[in-house]
Amino acid sequence: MPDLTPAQVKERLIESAVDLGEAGPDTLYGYGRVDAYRALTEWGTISGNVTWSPSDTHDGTRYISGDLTIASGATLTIMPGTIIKIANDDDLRTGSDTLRVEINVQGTLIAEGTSANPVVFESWHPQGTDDWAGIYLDDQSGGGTFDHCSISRAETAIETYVPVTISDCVIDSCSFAGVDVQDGLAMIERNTLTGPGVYGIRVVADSVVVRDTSVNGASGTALQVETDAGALVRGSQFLNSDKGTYHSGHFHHVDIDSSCVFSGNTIGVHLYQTVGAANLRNSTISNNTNTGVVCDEASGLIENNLIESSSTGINCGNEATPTIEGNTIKLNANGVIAAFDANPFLGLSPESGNNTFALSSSYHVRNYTSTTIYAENNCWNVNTGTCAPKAAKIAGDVDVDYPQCCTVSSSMLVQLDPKETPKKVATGIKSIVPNPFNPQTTIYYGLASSGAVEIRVFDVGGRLVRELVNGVKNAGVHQVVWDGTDRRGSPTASGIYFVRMVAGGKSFTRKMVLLK
Amino acid sequence: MRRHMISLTLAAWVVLALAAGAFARSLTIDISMQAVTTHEGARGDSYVVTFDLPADLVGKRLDTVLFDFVVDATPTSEAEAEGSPFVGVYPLTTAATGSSLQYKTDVPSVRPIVMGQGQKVQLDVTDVVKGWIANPSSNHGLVIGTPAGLDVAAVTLKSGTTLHVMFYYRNRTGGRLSTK
Repeated sequence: MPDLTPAQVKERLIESAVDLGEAGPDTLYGYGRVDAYRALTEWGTISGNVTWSPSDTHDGTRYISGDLTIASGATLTIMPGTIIKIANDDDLRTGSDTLRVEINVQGTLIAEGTSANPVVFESWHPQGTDDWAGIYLDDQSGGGTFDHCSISRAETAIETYVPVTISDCVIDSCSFAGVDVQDGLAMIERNTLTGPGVYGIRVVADSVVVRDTSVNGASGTALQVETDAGALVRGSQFLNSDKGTYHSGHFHHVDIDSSCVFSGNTIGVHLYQTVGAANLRNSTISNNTNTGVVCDEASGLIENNLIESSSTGINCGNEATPTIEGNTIKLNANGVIAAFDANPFLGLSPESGNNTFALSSSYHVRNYTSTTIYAENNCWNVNTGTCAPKAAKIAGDVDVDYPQCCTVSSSMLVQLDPKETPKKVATGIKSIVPNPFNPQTTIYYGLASSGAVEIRVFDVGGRLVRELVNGVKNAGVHQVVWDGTDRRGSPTASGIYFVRMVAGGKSFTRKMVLLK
Repeated sequence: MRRHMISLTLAAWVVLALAAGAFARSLTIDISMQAVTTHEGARGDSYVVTFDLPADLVGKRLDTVLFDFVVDATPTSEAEAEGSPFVGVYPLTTAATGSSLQYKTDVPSVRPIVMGQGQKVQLDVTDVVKGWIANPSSNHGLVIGTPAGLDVAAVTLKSGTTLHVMFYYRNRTGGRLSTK
């Protein structure tokens, strides 16, 4: 350590010595046995405010040999250009992972590099994908900032229970996850994650904002948003993973928009048990080997996307009821599939639908259920410029009235048959379009048979906000508009509302979000 | 910088251990095709896979369990050829005896697949396994098969391949527990 003064060298040797005999220095063993390895490396607890910069050492590199903990109230600031090499073996044998080095942040960690001089966390002797454990911010931590950092070969690069900002970072070759958000809002912007193990970014609770970030090559999911979590995703790419993104949120919102790309995955986007709180808009979902979008027990809005070149464009199963509007769905074997009591909504009036189906090698829409799929006001193109009859591209009970075809060429216009058979309509709320909404939304609902129906809007406290329908209606599909006002006609506040339909002795509830 | 902050008292080490990292570890069970039993049904064969939970999971916080296998999907009719195959994985509710299999279908277990040979299918079976941990006697294994009621190609497990169950768990006791 040529940069240290003699006094500092002495201090390090004393502090790192292996204590022998009685605790502390004694007359027989002195300070104990000299441990040169520990003396030359970092380990233990940082209890004050400390700054690491490249000029601290002759080559800008610090070596960590055992678990390093930033204590509560302390701050470690790491300056641009600092290289931190982490041993493949936890010399201290401490922590829950006694074999590998952990960086535990109970205080605050600020690692801010620049594009020319990033802060680098890497294994001392690169061997695999989990040479060290990773950086962990527990639920008492003061938080973390990672800007222009490179983090590689950890088990999980960053796991956090508190708010963090991760920007302009490169995270690669981590065996479990690149970023694991167990709690706390995480801002994740302009990062590149490559070769993460199971998850690229996983969000267990709270929410994340993911912008302009690329995740490539997760064996599991590139972006996983779990039951109690939400995500706002903009301009990001999720590539070559088993799933591009998986959202199983019951109560939180996932909003994917602005040129996101899901490509090269087995499944591009998988929505599971979302309840009116999942938006997938203005994105490209292409070349996913299995399915572009899977909706499993999910509602949500799939709007204005390019969904192409997968075995199935959108696969709806297990009572899924997504609203599918304005998409271009082409070059898939099957454009949209409904099975296992799913009932996707592809249009019921000139204001809805507007999807373009083209070049499906099997079916544009295939309905395996016994319930009608409404798919009016869509464009039905065919494979090679010659019109195909409806039956060639649509299977099952699909209502395709009011067709509007694209103007690709006159020969591609498809003359669809009018309604041919009475449609079976299931009782329940079919769709809420748009949702979220401002200032008004349309609630589509069905009645299997004529009878009394009651539709009311409640706030999250269970208080009645507005009664929309209370009377007898004929069998079929109906719609009612809620303009976002209460019983007195006053505008309601932004937030979550529930629409409840009671008919035929059953009750159906769906969530709506008013965004102002 | 850091060493002078360290206390080697026992209390300090205990605190450090409890507060230390939450990093996931993994275990993988490999299951050969010889360990899989085949049950004939109207919609093609179903496959029963049973395995004991690793003893190393005791006392750990289970994070994620992934189950993967390789399938073929070959149509036997023109109608099947135009359909999109599905494969389902379901937890058995009773031990698999005879030709009748009893299993739950209310779990997220159906995955669309592509017509063709040799496709790897990976499903998250975390909730199923957590149920087995809570009630070990309920572990009767998993059944892989083609969901009933669809005119699509039956799915077969690809011969000569190995099935994997990957358990990701954590040692940590502090912080907040995962809700998954």
